[in-house]
Amino acid sequence: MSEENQSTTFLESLLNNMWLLLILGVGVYFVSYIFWGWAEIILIKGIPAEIKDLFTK
Amino acid sequence: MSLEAPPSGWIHKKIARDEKGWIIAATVVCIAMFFWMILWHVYGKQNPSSVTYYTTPEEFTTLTNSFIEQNQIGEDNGIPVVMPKPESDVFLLAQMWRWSSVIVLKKDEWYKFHISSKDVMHGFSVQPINMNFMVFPNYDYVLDFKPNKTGEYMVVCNEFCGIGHHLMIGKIVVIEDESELANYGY
Repeated sequence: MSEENQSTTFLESLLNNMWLLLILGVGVYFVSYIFWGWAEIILIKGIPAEIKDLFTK
Repeated sequence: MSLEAPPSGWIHKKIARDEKGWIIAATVVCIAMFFWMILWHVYGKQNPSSVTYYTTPEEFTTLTNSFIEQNQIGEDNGIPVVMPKPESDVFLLAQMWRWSSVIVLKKDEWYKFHISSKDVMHGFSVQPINMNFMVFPNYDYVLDFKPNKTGEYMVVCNEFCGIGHHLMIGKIVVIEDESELANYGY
């Protein structure tokens, strides 16, 4: 089969669109790092009672 | 123009052997470095404990004052000097523009440092070994700490915290036994 007759695949059309690649390349990391950061902050707990008791009782 | 897509069907073209070699080599290096990063975290012994607790400046100040009361052995220019027991929790509070106490530690013993700020962001920088951590208000940052050399270490703030930032210098003294305390005037 010659190259001219081959249909354009999804991957090829994706890789041909540099603006879409740019948005994905920045956007995926932007969203995942924001999510990761918020998740870390939300999951932080208070100082455990057994440590506090050593210095407050 | 270089930004234009190549002619249709380029994805079906065979990759040249040398290019394939470089792609494989780059992929292998990326994967190896990714796993090395994980291994180094475990075996590198250069990482903080990754333990952080939420606190408030009021709560941390109370804990620090209580810690100082329990462990104070003297004063250095008006700053309390504390000598906590090995394997114990050590509370260090940063505030504009001082550290809460001078800390005396024993060589080759583990300590659990709790560091927080009363007001703005500060930097906990131990010199001359150049160990650096950020200190935030509202967060208790926990560091497992084992000094392995005796001597006097300066704790400088390395995050600009106001007009007295350059004066914010604390001290950690590492000794082998109590007889050395006199050498430091304690």
